[in-house]
Amino acid sequence: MINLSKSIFNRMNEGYLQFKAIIESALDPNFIVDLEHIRTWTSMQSLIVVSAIDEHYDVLVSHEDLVAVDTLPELYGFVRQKLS
Amino acid sequence: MAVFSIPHVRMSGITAAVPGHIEANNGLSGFSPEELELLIRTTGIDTRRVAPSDVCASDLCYEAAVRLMEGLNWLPEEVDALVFVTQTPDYQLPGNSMLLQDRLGLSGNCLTLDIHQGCAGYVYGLSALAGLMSASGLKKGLLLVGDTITRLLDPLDKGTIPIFSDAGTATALVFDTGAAPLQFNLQTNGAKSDAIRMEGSGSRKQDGDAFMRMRGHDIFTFGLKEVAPNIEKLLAFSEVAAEEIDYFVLHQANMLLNESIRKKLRVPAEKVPYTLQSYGNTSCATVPLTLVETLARQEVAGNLQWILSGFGVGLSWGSVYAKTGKIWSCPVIEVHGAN
Repeated sequence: MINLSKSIFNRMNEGYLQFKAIIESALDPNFIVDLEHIRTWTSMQSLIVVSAIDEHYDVLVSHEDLVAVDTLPELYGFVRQKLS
Repeated sequence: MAVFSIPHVRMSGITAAVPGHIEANNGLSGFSPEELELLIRTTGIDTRRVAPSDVCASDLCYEAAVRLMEGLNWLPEEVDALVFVTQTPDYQLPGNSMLLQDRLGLSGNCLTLDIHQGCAGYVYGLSALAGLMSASGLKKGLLLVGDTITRLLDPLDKGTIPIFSDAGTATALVFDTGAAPLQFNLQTNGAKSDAIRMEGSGSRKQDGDAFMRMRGHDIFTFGLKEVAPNIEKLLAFSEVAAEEIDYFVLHQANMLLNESIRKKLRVPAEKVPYTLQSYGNTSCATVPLTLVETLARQEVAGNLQWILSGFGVGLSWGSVYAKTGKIWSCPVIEVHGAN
């Protein structure tokens, strides 16, 4: 049971790290203030992220979807939910 | 379903005119240097053309039309129909088409029509004029498409000022039973009409906001969702493969959105021309302006297959598949006002 949970956690963590790397690469590290906290992104950066998520996950993130989450892990959770 | 074919009409020439005054995005105030760098990189817009107060869309289209008629050796009395597409007419009434009928010296027997459309306006205008000519047999038609959209912007709005620009264009259509049909796919979603709106511009809310407002995120996701499927459906209807198309001329919204659409369509970069860098988003004029620039870069003027696609205010979007022969054109004309 413990092993199974650990395996799911590892897979989720791997998925999140991949998601984070995609977002980080799209945003360009030179312009990132605080990657994990969505409120620190400018509107232009938000659109860059929306475009990257659409390209890599085929999920469209509306303005309402984006304001409903505060952190990058929450955004990843939203994308996963859309994919399931 | 507005997927249809219009026979017996072809494009024989196209010209574009822009204001001589250039504004550079790297000189914009209210942005940090980092913000400006990201903005220019993401939008793809370095410079914009801004009309002085004495130059209207009608003036830009007039200059484009005069040059076009000279180039094609058209006499004013030969023009049977004139359609003017703009959101920035000289007056609330009468429409620009009537003003230009007189100014261009066209005959009193010329049909005129005004169409209030934005970024999808070229494709919609082309469908309207080509449809009229195809059905009636009218021989020569002028499609004038232009905006001085910068007049509608709030000078403090960081979401619109770096994007929009002014231009006017003229396209010549001729009735020709040997022409390949023009194929269209036109769509509308009025439920999202508040995504780009100028509340105080009409008779509904006379004390409303006097500037054009755009919800950038909503427009962006609209473009991501709708444009590629619209083009794919048109290609299927036209029974033509994407690989056969020489150029996909997209409305010049911004580089980030247009590149996303290009990737969705799996089209190589060299088939998607841009004029964003020098001219910005000129509203309804982006597609014909980019056509002019693309024709200027063509080393061999011959048969070409095009997808032209506009999308924006309305919300409204549409594409046309055109198989063209020789199209007369000339370099983009610069117009200088007295002010």
